Amino acid sequence: MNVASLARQILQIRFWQMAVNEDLKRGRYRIPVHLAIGHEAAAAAVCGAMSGPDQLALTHRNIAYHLARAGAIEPVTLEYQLSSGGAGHGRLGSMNLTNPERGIVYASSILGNNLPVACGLAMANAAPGRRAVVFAVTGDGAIEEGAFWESLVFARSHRLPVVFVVENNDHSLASTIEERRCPIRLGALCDAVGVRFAGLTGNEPGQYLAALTAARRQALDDGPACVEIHVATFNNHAGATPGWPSDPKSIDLGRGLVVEESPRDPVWVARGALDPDDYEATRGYLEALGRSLAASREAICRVI
Amino acid sequence: MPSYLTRINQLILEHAARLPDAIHMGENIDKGSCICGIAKGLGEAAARAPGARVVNVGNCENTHVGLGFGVMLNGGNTILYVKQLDFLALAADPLINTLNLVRGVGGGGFTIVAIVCDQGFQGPQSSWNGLSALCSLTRAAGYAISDAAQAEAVFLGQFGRPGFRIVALSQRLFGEPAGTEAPVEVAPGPAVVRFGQGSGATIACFGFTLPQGFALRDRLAAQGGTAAMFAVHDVPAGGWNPAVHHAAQSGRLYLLDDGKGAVSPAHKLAHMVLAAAPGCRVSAFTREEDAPAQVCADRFEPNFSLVA
Repeated sequence: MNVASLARQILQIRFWQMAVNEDLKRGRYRIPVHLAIGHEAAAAAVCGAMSGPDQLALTHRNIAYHLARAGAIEPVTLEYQLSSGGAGHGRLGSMNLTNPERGIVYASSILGNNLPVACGLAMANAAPGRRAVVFAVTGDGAIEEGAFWESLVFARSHRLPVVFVVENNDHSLASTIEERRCPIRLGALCDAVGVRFAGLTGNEPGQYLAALTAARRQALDDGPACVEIHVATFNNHAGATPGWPSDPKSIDLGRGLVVEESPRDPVWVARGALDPDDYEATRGYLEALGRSLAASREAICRVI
Repeated sequence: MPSYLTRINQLILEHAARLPDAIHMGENIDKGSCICGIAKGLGEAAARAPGARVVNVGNCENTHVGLGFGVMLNGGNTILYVKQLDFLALAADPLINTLNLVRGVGGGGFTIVAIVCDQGFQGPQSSWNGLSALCSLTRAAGYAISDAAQAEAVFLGQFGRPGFRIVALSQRLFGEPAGTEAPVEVAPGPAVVRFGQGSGATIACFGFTLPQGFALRDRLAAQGGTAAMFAVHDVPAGGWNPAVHHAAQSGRLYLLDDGKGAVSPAHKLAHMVLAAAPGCRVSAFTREEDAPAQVCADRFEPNFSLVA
């Protein structure tokens, strides 16, 4: 995957998330949905670094990864409508949604819960002849849990092919890191147990893809790696934005895909990674996608 | 007759040698005491099974259990050996949340073999024996073993098989004779294992109470009565039907449970029997209510003196 295609995927994931956000505003889903508007570069780069039989173990805020891996919105939105056509056949909802055919084999709403499972997946993958890496996505809240430390030590002790991806959005529920705990220097923590570490910020698609690809190679060759990615979660709760009076952003598909004109917004950065012609082509594609999406969504709503 | 510990160790080695690609995992399993001896020789036995691995691990029970479910999800097979059942309290999250998500998915297997440190004076923490309570959290299958024949049935039906279960061993029985009586019926699973053809009474044994059950049966026999005895496991209650039907016919049910928890699965069996046979007389022998808080001998010594 090259940088331009990664940038296009970032735009697409944003577009789909904003479409889901519009659905949420209209009350079209019966389940809580944790949007990840602002996480698109992390998700696209992780999925871009994955290869062959690699697997993903996700958190409750997993929508960006699902959209990236499925390459379509329907498996997600149908699941949110608890339809049998969804990725989880309408039985998993959003927080535990998996899509094994696309490598998403586990997702947990319990902080840290997916990390030991990821180690188990990797342990099974360590059978001779099977070269697969498990990407275990977690967050700055979950690294406070014992499961993170245990899994890091276990994976290192047994050289398991795991990449721990820590999405640091500075929030757990509605409290910031400063409001709830001391700082954790993750690089120093990883260094203490011999786990290779990389920190990413700024949403540069090429840099993210290179770092995650290197982490994958490390995991295959010598055991676990850890990548901390600083993300801005522009919607910091479950549900639509705006939804709460305290929402920091008023996100509306009608205003375009960029939420914040700064390096904190992966779409703003991804636009810069595309040449003008490519950007116009992508925009045209998304507009067409939007029309088809609107038509299919209306049809789905009529059926339901 | 081998001791309980020797027979358990033999069964582990016999079955491990026949489990290709299995991951045998635990702290101390091929080092030091080999978990009180239950895993002694496991390395050699597993080496006879192609692809099997023996993995000595550190102290992180939450991760061990979550990891076992992860292996299961990928179609693999883990046997986790745990020195003390109460260590699994550290893994309550995967035992509840992960199991609820992965049950029946992936086709793999996960067996936990845990020792209950009920040999006496371990203190209020270390001697916890609440297998039934643990299993009831998510309706997991549990098998407390207190006899050789029961152990053979459980290992044959459960050890290394697809799906999840916890097998509990009693350390207070390690030095005791393993038992020689052959069962007359082993229900699928095994949900229950029946000893004896007697029809005058039904003895249902939960936890590690088979020795006490045999003692009660002997007492009844000395008084001219007959009884059938059932080792009852923590499985969906429909599997208990052989015991329920027998009790409904005999009209006399004795329940034995050495569990320290407030809720006993024996109560559920009593309800099932009374629903089928409202006139059945039921006597229950369980622990005193303050047992969990005591540093005690941990023996279970029900008073059968009034049994007639």
